[in-house]
Amino acid sequence: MNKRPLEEERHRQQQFVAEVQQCDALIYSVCRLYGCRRDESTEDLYQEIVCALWESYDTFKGDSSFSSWLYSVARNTAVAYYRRNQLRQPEISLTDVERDFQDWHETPNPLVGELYYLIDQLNADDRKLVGLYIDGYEYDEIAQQMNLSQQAVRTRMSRIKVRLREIKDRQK
Amino acid sequence: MNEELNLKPYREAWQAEKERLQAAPPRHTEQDIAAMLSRHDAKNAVAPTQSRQRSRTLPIWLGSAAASVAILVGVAWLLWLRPTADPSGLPTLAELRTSSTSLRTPSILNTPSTPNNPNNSITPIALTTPPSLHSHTILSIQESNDALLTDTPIVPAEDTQYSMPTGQPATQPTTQGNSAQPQLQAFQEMSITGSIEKQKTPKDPLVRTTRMSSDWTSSHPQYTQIALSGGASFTQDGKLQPLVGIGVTHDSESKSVICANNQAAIYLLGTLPSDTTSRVVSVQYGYGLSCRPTDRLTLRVNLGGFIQFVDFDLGLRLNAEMGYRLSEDFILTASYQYYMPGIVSGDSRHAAILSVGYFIN
Repeated sequence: MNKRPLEEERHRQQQFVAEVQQCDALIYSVCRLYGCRRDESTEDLYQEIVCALWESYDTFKGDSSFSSWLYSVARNTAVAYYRRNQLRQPEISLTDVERDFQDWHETPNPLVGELYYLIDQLNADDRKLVGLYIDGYEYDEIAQQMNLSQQAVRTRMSRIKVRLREIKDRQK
Repeated sequence: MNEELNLKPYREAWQAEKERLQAAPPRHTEQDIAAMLSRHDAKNAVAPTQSRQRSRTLPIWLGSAAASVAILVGVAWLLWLRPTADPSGLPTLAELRTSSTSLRTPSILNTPSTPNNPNNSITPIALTTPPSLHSHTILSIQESNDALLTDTPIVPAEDTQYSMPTGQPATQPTTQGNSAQPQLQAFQEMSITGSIEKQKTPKDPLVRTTRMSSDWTSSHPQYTQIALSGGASFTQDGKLQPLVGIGVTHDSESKSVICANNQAAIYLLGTLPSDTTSRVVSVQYGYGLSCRPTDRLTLRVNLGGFIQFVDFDLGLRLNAEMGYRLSEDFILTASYQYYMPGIVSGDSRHAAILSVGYFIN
């Protein structure tokens, strides 16, 4: 493996840091939508995403925008993080989530807090699926992202929506 | 019908939230991010990357291929590389092929002709049955050796003077003169097939012989095994699902010919890492063909359906398996299953399963 000259490597790292910092909010939103149970754990995940991005920085060839590439790597890292940590972390209540949410927002939208709580009850695959949908992807794009058929995506989404309805009803 | 939650309001709320996050001042400065990288370099920690993500999806085909190769190597080793003198006392393959007690094979096929046998082709079964096994009564001609091999208690035939008490060893076969004991054994078997007419003419060897021959050709041996299974399945998105199960297989015939089989099984599937919401129960039934190229080896293909509970789904599944007879009562089976895309989910799956089966008849 070729080693870059130190100066070049330093310059490359500076460029990377600057680009990542520009996408700070994007990374944070990925952490929250795909990977974290509580706001307090977003910092861990954020760091893990930054490291993952740096490790795969060589694979970024500029075919798409930096933010698109970053979003894709960050999402995969977040789902893996969630899968790894889901069972280790204690169950949380809607009240916990809402309190977290209010800490960070001056004028919180209650639907977003509720969304955080609902997706937190799902397993990693289902959370990724719902996350993609919430993120604005259409079914055909989700199918492509998750390597599933469109029919499979529709079926799973339907099941997940039923489950989410049950979870929401239990909270009432 | 369960009501679905409408996610559109959440979708809109999230888009607004995302815009708000984008507009907010960054939470991390460049120095923060550089510090993260320094810590990462210092620890030389390996964070999950895309390449590692990709490696999680490899088991879809790599896992199946590896399992298939392992199964083939295992069976090959058992069949061809094992020493012929088995220290466990289990009969060798060659012994099984030539022995009158070969598994599920009527000894009638291996018996020599005797002067008692006018058509010079078939001899009553008891003539070649080892004395140590004669403490058993045979339930029927087609199941005679099954009964011998599975220690079925004696039920002496009551309506014939030739019945023999339980535990009584039989006379060794002879090749000269008329021996009552071998004929006696043969008629015990005959009587339990329900052939009352034949019992009334016990001293006519021709009748007996004809009847026995008729039994063999008209009614083939059948056997049923119950198996405990363990293995792994691989979903199309690369998820490894360990499985355990119990199944029943019934082969309608078992000696060197292709024959029909029925299989029914229940599998409990889990996921790795463990996830209670993804545990499902799969109930399966299939119908297919079996053959036994050797006494120990059984090959089966089976096409059937499955119904999956919890995450409801149903569809077709194809099963190919190789069974290796470990002993008279046990069989080790390695199988590969392909679950065609489910009608509900559209997901396909592969599975590699290892089973230990016990013959229950």
